[in-house]
Amino acid sequence: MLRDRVTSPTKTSPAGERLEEGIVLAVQDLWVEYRTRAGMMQAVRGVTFDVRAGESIALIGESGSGKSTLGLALLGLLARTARVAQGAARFRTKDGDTLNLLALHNEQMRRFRWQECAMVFQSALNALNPVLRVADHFQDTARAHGQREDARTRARAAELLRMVQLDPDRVLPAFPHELSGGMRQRVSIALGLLLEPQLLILDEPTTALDILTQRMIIDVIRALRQRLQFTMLFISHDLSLAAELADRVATMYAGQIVEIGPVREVFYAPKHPYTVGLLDAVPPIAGDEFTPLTSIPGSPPNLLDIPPGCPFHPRCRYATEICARQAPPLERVAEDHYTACFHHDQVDRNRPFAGGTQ
Amino acid sequence: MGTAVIEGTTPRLSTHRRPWHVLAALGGNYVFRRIGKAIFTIFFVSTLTFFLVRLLPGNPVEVFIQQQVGQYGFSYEDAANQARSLYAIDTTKPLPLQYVDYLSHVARGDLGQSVLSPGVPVTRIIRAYLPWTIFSVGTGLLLAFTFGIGFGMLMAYRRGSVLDNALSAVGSILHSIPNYLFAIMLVVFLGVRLKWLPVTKMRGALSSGQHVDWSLAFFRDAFFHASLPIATYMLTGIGAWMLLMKSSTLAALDEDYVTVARARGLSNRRIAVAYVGRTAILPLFAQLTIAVGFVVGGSFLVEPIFVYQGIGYILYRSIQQRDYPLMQGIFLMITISVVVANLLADLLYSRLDPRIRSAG
Repeated sequence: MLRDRVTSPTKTSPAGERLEEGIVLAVQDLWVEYRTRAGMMQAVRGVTFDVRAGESIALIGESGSGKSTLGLALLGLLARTARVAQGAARFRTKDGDTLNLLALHNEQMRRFRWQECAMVFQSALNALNPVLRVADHFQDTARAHGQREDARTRARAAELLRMVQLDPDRVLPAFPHELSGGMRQRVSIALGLLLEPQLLILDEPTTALDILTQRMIIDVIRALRQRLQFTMLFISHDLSLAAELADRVATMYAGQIVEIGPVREVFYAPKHPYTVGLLDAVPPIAGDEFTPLTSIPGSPPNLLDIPPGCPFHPRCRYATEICARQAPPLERVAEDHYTACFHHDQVDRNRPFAGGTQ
Repeated sequence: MGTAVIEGTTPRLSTHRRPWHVLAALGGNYVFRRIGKAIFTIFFVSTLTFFLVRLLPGNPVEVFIQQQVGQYGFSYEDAANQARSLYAIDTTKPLPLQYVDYLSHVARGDLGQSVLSPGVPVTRIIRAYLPWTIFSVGTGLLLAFTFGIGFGMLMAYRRGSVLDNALSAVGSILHSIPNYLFAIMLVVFLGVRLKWLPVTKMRGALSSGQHVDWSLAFFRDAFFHASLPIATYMLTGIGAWMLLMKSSTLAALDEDYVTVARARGLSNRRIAVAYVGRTAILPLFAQLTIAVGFVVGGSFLVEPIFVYQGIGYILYRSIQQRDYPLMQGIFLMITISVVVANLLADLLYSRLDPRIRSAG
């Protein structure tokens, strides 16, 4: 299996050193693999990125592109069959210390979770314990992190629930099955913010919900961020969600970041054919002009058998012979905008490619 | 965002607490309904025993009357009168009236008199022997359930380990041995061959001369005599609980809310107790209600082997000696105790699983 090092898109200090101020999380050359019957499956393959304090960064990709695995790896929640094969992830805590996330002891990791980095999971319907009341979930979390004053926790929980537009008097004493999916997801978000984490990871926060509820969740998240100013890493396959919530977007394909840049850059001047494909596959995010939708030919690669060179080349209309031989490094194409494509100067979303489907 | 309608409040603010009252009423209703069901079951089974006695080959009441006439030279009239008081059944009345009579006797707690110990009411015999069975069966079942759950969780947490494999093997073997066979093996090997256990001294429910009181000596003696039945119920029952709890814990460990609880930084202990254990144990309560019936019913095979004087032993003897009123009474009592155990387990289940209370 090829293990080409992807060049770092931003300057990050080597593992073990202190993180500079302004960076919350630095992931460097992270590889995660799953043990399967058919052999080792590499879900994350050399991912490098920084999360800057206060920003909102979106990881976008098709299902199976390794986005969720990445989130779980950061919190040490990988399944028993998965392991981090290589790489580093460093985190700057609230009091300025740098933690090496992949080398924490159990107890250190336990304290890190939620206190520094909380996560809202995709499975809105099943994220809460069915035999505990909503209030107990808040109390359990606070007590696990040494906050013994139940009354204070309750007041804070009520405040957060009001922020996500829920009535605390009604929701706190309720059991999860008495709430709708959207309400449960808002409870999860409020719970995520209970300990004022530096970083909130949202893993497909709207996927399990109907479209109107999705709208509501997006509005709630946006309002919360304006008010509480937390840093956010959210994982989604939904580009419109990224357009609304993200400052920066990273596109993932076959376990790698293939393009990363400011949201406007990535949407208006994408430089990776895969990002272009994703944008063409959904209705336009802005404007009312009708453009026909096109899907990306082929299907996502089998992670047990990733094509050599650029993993996207079998599906790419720009592919040439070099793409099958060599893995393209992440290259700077504009201010803060990096892409891993040999032909990025030809990629232009607004100029239909000769012989293309448009 | 301030102008948005806050979800969860009903439009009429003055009555927004009402759903909770309705819910509380539902909870009460569940208990009420459940007790109603239990009473109906008891009624149904007492009806069944009434007709069962009549369906037994050669109508035992008639056989008794004929016996009395043939053996002791009573007149049919006298014998029928005696049968009436013994069985709480008057064969001269039409069947529906007999049934009504019988029900009214049962409702007043009159189950007739034992044939073999004339003049002794069946209820007095039951009252003397049933507590010993409840004590030994209850203790055995509780120990099996508690340890089974502990081992089952341990196996699930250490799945694939040597410990898991060893306990799984032990569990399957214990589960496959019928309790009466296990009891025979205890007596034969530990008692007769190896002479490790004084099985003869352990017979009976209490040593002679020991009074029933709250003294330590009494409890020691009670446990001494009950220890073999308890060990039998526990060891033959524990395998099933271990294996059930293991699979149910494995399922719970896979639940998303367990992963979320870990992400929230909860301690492993808190997660094991409140997030994994508490949900994993729920399906086992349904099994517990079934087990109570099996073990109480099975005590009539186990108790005679140890000569432990509980209701199972008496039932065994009454079947052997065709003491129909006693059999009838014991069947009814066993049913009632199983129904009550079921009821308690169900009510406990509804306390543990909030989803039951509202879905009912």
